[in-house]
Amino acid sequence: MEHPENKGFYEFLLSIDRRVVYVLVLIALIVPLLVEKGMQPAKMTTAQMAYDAVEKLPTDTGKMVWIAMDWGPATQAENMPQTSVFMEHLMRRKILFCTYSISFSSEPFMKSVPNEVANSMNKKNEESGDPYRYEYGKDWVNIGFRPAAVLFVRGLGKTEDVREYLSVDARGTPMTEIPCMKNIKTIEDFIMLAEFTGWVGAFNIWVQFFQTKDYKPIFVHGCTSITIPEAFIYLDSKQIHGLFEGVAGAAYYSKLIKGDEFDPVNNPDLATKFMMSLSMAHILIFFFILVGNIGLWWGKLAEKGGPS
Amino acid sequence: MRRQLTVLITFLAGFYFFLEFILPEKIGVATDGTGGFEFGKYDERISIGFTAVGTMAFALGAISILNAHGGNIIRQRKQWGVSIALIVSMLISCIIGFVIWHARSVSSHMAKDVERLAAVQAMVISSAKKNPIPRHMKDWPEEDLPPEINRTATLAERTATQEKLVDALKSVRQKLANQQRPPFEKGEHPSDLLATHLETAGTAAPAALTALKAEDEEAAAPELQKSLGGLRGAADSQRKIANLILDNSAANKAYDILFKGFYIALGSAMFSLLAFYIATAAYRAFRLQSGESFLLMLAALLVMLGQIPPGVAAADWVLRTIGFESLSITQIRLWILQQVNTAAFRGIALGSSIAGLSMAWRVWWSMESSALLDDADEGGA
Repeated sequence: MEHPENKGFYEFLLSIDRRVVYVLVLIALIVPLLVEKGMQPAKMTTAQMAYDAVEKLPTDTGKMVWIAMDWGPATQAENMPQTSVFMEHLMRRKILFCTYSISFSSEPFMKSVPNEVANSMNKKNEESGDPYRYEYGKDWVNIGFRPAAVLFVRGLGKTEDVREYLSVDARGTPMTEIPCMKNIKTIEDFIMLAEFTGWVGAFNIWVQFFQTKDYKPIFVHGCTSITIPEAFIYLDSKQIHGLFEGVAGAAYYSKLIKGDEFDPVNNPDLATKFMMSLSMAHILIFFFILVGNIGLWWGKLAEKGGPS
Repeated sequence: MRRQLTVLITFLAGFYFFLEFILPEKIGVATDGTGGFEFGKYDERISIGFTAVGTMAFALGAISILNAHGGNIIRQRKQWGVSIALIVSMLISCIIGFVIWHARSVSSHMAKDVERLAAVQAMVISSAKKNPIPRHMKDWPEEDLPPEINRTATLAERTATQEKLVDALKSVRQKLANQQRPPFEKGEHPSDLLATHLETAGTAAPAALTALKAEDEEAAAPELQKSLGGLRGAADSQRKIANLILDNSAANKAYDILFKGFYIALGSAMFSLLAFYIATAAYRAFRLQSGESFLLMLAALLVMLGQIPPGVAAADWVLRTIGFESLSITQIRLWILQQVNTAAFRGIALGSSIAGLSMAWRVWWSMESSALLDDADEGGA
């Protein structure tokens, strides 16, 4: 790399080494995770809609929320906090749920995410003296990964006995033996569908096939930041009733469910920490766009006889 | 011949789903609502069949990898060491996958004995009453219902079944007494709960048998219910024990190392490279050379600022300073996404859907030349 002094300043701005960019991105991503200090999340109307939709769900009916965890390691930074806060909300309201994925790569998360949320809720209950303990089988069930996504979801909409159709859970326990599946007979017994994904095409499967002639679910969707524009067309047509817009949506949702407990400055949760990390990366991207354009325009002015 | 067969199967499979979608639930229904042909009657089974066929794609993938990379190794082509790494990783994953599958299968069968006893106990109770009419027979005339629907078991039959259950319960209790006691952190240990529930069932089931033998249905009823409760509780505890044993097994630990230690870490690392790539791409390529690029950047800037807390704080301060007290960047962001973006994206979505439809039509009629058909041609020739 040529020394900056030998060139015009604008040329320096236009030729920053990519390794410098990489190091700055690394610092921007890591520092917020290490510092563990956050900020109040930006207001997300779409996350508020998702929250309101869950708040309106009936409790103690034995009915269930179907959670499609169509994400893997690649998009876990955004989809994991979304899924986690959503499950926490359901557990707080004592609404039963099941987890399922169209991909095998979600399998470890379908086990670990609800377990971690339940452990944290159980710990809180112990501290507050609430005897209730969240348990697998009683409060949620993991259906696991099933191949042939389109055909599977399509078949789910048509079956007259969901428990027979699913047969066993991810551990091989018969569905008929799982307490929370007791009142689930047809697809209409799922009072809400929540789908979290960053994969192209996954969301469309649910919009098209998770329904019957007489039933369309209340649908909440969690997407990565890059697919937010696409999700808005479904929000506008009311095919989805709430949206988690990337990790920012998860952070705002977390604020809604936690209320006064939410303390992003001193005790940021997973969603807030990830949001701060991504915020810093966004700011850095603005900065580089700005630097590149200042260099460009400075250069143009210099060529016309302006500053150099 | 192979080509024609492939084309025919593709066409028929597509045709079935096409008809299933467009046809009404029943065809040729009489004016009084009876009769008619239900096209989708076997749809569930057909779907499961297609799912099974889809699963075979995994096996084909494995064969394809072995074929391509095995050839690289045998002929020692360029970078054949990478092929060895790939095949070794695949084999390790497969072996651990099969081991965990076996461990899960064993685990899921651990509670079977108690579950069966609970099912038999429930049958002894329910067989005293008429069976409920299954959903698909609800509209059937009384005379068409199978005889077992209205049949109740005799007292002798129920007593004989209960006697067998009591014997089986004794042997199950002996078998489970020597079972492994897995580590457990909080609350009452499932092994203790299992012992308590089996004790309840072990007392109530013989008591119910004595009452049934004495033809005292009134005395038998509460004991039968108590026995059923005990057996169901025991099945639940046994499932928890099975899950704990599975969680602490070497197979599960190996699976966790493979998935959490390697797959998740490597998958996340791969995708996180995107952040670095985007930052350098933004710096090098996002140059404002025209009015359109300025608009694009302005929209991107407003949307991004509106979703990050430092961006909201800074932009709202600017808006307040220039006199827009009641306006927030989050509102501007939402307006862009709801109005401008939705209109544009809907057009894009419609366009791509029409293209998808045309593509589906070409695939259905095998108008797309594919590797499979080309190979088949060569094979056939």
